[in-house]
Amino acid sequence: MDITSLGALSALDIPDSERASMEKAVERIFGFIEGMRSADVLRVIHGDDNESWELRPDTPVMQDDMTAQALRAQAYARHDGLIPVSALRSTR
Amino acid sequence: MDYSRLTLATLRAYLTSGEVLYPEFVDAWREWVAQADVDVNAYTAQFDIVPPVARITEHESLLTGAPLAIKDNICMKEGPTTASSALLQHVPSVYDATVVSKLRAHHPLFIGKTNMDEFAMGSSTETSALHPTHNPCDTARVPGGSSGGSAAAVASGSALGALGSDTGGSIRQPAALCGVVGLKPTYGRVSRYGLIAMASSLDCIGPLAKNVADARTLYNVIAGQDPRDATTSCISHASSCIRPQTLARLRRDVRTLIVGIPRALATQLHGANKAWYERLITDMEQHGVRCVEVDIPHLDKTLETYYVIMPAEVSSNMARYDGVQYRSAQAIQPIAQYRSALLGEEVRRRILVGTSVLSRGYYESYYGTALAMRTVVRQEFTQAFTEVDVIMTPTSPTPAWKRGEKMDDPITMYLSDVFTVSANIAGIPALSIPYGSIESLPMGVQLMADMYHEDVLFDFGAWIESIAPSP
Repeated sequence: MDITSLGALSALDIPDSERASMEKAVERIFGFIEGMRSADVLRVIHGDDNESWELRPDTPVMQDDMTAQALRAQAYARHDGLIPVSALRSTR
Repeated sequence: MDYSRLTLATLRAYLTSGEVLYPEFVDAWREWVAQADVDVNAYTAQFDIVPPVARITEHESLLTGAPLAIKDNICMKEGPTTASSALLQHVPSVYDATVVSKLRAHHPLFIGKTNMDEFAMGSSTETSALHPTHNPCDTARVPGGSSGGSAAAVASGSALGALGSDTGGSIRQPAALCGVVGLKPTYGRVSRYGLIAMASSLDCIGPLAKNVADARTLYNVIAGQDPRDATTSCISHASSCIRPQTLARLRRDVRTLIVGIPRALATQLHGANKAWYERLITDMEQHGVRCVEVDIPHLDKTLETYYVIMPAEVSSNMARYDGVQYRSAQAIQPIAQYRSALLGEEVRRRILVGTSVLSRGYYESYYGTALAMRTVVRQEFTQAFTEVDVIMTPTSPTPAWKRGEKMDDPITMYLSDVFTVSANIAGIPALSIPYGSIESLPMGVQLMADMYHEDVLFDFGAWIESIAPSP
């Protein structure tokens, strides 16, 4: 996990003195959410063909008020020249 | 008069009895707040506002003149809304949140703003940048979070009711740990205009109170559509949405409601906590309630789903704090330095994780999967509610823990949300009610129902309250 690049994308400055502990914590969290990529979750979401990341046609993504599209639109709307453009570009 | 035991109804009886004039009561209450809050530190700011009420009559709202507290991420014109962050400490609020306006119309006595985890990110109120809040039941322990200040204010008796916000359990978990009632309403049932956003597809405002009746009174005032919040539901009478079979059982006798027990979650409980849950189920059955096993196959994935979706939305919502719109005296410096200096460790952690799961290469495998998983869990809940009327779990896997005990490892802290996040993921209402204790520390039972079934939760919750053992 490259904390430095994540910090740049998030407009956060991670001082050298904090980098090791922050890196450890973020890695712990990624270890925790790794279940999202477990075989049983993939089977539920994608069917038996785990090669494809395309969603099964019968598994609708919840179209709530803040789905990914809305989040992206929100991020772009806030773009005022201060948030690094690279951060917005990387947020698909 | 023992102020610590007052409820909205007993306060009304006291104020209309002629024993005391309202202005005298206000003065006496302020003295009581100073005494009740001395070891608790529930407030970030206290107000010196007296409602324009000379005397209270029986014809007025139960909230008129009643001491209430507001979580410090809900805007009030009286001062800054800090979200317990150094970043917003000196930024004044220029308007009232809709929920505050609705309460203000009833002329309550607003005591102050309550402490919370910074930007509502935490489960113990220890990430507050201002000061810690202590659990009134045992001041060596945390009050839970993130609405720990609101729960502590109600539990200590310095407020008769409070508002909190709930993104993954932030009303219910502190309510359980402090021995009070807390409701997370259906997503979209209560306006969030004026709430500092954390994760916009999960955030809800709800009440905390000493009993179910008071929580219901507060909820009935704050619920409803708001033209200023496009995510509020247009349903005017939520009770019309109650499933016919549930409504029939509710009208016959609340004890005929069918209670679902998701047994898979019991594996999260051990020792005394497990015995407490088993006793709860036995108590229900002995009172004639039918408890049946309910299958929500992917309930065990909701915590991971939550900890992908929530930081993703956090990273987006926190982008607005760029030092320009919400300026502090330290704002004239590069944005990254400014944010890093004024945001706490947990907030920065969540921003980093959220940015990462939304990044190219991670988006599909984490965020996209979590959104799909959320739909699956929501469908499973909908299916479960065709078989049962309410689902019953503990609110928290443990009673209140000692201060500092879980601060070193974020995952240990996240696991305290294991029973509460599913209601936010599914958008359904959930109510926490005090029920007994473990080693003299209060425990809470959580009831979940289908969307817009708050009245079912209140009716069944009031019955549970009537049979609950004393803490």
